[in-house]
Amino acid sequence: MKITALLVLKCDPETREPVILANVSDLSQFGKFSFYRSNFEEFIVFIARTVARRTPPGQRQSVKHEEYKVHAYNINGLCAVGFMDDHYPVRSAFSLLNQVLDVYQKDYGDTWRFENSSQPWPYLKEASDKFRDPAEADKLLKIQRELDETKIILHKTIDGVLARGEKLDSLVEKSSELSLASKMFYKQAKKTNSCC
Amino acid sequence: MAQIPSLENAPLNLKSIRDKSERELVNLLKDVRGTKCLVIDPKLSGSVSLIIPTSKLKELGLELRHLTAEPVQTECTKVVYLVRSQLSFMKFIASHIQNDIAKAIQRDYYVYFVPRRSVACEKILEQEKVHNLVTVKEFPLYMVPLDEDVISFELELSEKDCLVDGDVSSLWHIAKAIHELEFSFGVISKMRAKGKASVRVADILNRMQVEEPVNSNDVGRPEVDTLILLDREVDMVTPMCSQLTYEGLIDEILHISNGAVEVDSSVMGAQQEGKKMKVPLNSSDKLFKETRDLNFEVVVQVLRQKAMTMKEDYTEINSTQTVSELKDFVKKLNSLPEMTRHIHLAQHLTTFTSKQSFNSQLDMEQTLVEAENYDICYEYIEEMIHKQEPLTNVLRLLVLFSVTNSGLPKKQFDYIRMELLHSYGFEHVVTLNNLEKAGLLKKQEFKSNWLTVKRTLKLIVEDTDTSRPNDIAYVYSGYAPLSIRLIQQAIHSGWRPMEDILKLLPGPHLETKRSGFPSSPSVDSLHGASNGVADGRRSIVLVVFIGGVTFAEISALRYLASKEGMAYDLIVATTKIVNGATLIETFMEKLG
Repeated sequence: MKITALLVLKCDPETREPVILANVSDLSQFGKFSFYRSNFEEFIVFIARTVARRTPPGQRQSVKHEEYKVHAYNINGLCAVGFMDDHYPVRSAFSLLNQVLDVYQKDYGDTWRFENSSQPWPYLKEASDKFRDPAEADKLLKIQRELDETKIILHKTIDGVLARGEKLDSLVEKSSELSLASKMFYKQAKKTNSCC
Repeated sequence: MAQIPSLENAPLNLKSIRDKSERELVNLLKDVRGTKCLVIDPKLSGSVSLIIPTSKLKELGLELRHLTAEPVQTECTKVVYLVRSQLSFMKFIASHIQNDIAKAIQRDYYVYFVPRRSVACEKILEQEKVHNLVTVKEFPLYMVPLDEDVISFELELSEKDCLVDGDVSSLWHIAKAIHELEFSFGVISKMRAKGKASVRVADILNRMQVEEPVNSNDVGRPEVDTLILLDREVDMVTPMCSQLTYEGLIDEILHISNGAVEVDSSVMGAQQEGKKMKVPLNSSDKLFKETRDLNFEVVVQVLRQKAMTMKEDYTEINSTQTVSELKDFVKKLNSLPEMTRHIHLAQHLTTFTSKQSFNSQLDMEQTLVEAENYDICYEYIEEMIHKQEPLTNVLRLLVLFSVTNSGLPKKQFDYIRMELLHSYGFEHVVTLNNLEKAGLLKKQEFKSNWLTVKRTLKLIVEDTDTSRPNDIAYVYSGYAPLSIRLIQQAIHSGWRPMEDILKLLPGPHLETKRSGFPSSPSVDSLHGASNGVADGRRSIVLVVFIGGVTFAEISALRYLASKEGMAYDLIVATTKIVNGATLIETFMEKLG
């Protein structure tokens, strides 16, 4: 099982061509001065752009191309693309792509919307190496699922206790009434005295 | 939540005091084998509930009843009476037993006196020919911890006993309680007392030390450094004023009893009408611990701020996805019940504090304390009488008038007295006589010292900042409680510099040093010997009020204890928690 390339692209509906924001490729199969090296990189970029362009926001898809399986995951216009071999599990692949997008969002926020060129991003290399073993991605997937379930439970707990905010609204309203009703005990008295 | 305070953070191990009382009671009850009916003095049951939960009593196989004139309804063959040594209770018990005899019901009877048996009580049982049918024992309950820093001797009639009836048996009880504390925590080496009763207690305590000495070697380093005894009589001004701390205001308006307040459940947001609800009020409630001593003006702001913060956090949580943030918020929700409870309670209080009558009363109190204009107050009181306002409110102002003015001018005194009896009924003549005998409502005979006392001790503090107080006066919004000023002075520089002022206040005063054995009276200044902070832990000053203390006074003491540079922890012990209304009520009697 193998990860040949990972890329992060910007897919802007107003732009015809997706922009490569970051990428990493495993070119170990080629020699340093091999004729095929630069051609291969061009090939990767071309295929990634094509697949990214055809993956609408919020969607995932997998495309078979020659001996590669190309997976793409688009979240709000930020698209992660991975080149794996046939034996790499699809579920694990998407788990990895999801992680890539999460970390990219965490590292760069929303600045990618204004980027129009590729920048080095060390994390892609790390992820490529780490998740060569799909079990790592599975582990991640499991953790993520548990977190999601915990979030749902916590939200339900909170909404239940607070009756979807109504209790808090009531308390804020009551305590605001308190502030209006409160009086300055001492100054009130002094004021009254001065009247007499 | 528990009604019994946790006492985990008490500066003195009061939990051991409470545990000891619980063990003693349980052992007494276990002495009676089989199922039994415990018939308890209604007022005493409040004290007992602060020592042992009712659920625990039921585990002992007890049926619980309150003592009344009516016969006890139970199938149990064993009846245990737990009562204070009060003559009227003996009549009840005797009539219960006689009623059983008349119906040929066979039972075993036990009478457990709190805190000790009394010859007069047993004489009545003899006269009623039932003494031979009962087993008599003592349950030595001399004190009940109300909170981490408050002890009650549960002697609610002691003020009237001393001032009107001349009965000083409660003084022995107080000395005994203090002596018990010394057995647990060591001999208290420095003693100050002000007031007739306080000086007598000091004397009794010294005699107890001779007769039944606390051995210094048995206890280790004494934990209480100083004992200050103060008669309520020394300062009758303070309890007649309306308390403006949160806890004090709850007591004024809703009446706190044994660390809890009882309100209609609709007040607390519950749906069912006409049902009562008990709200515990002690330092186990974190929000109450934070707000109880604040001026009510500030409490309102604090509660509002907390509600708004919780609301903002909730709004934020709906757009945040981090699990840890969600968990943090759920943790914050744990304070929601407390917040809800206190917002409801505070809202209920504002229905009273926003009334004109409340503010007018406050205005008159402040005018009397400032000794600015007695004529306005006199007219106001006269109007109250004509409108038949609650009698206790009228009497509070009259006592305040009398105490700050060294009595009412003769003509006004006679006139007011006549108006009172005419408006509220001649049966109140006994009440007026009691107040007069106690020196609380009397004719003026000489010029008042109040102005001198007020000025010298700086009892009126202008521009009190209630939210960031710099003086104890914040508890009464401008009036610094005289009692606490005396304690403040005693702690900081001793009473010697203010001998002249002390002489203007009722009753003798005393400063003495004690050790394993009594020594001759000698004056000692706390200021000179700076032994407050010995092993990283502050020494303790035990302040004993004979005749009662108000919650606002306790708040003022807590304020002093929290000041930077303060070398002592303060613990309050008192015959009873009081306010103006409950104090007046102890003097009220009706003919017939």
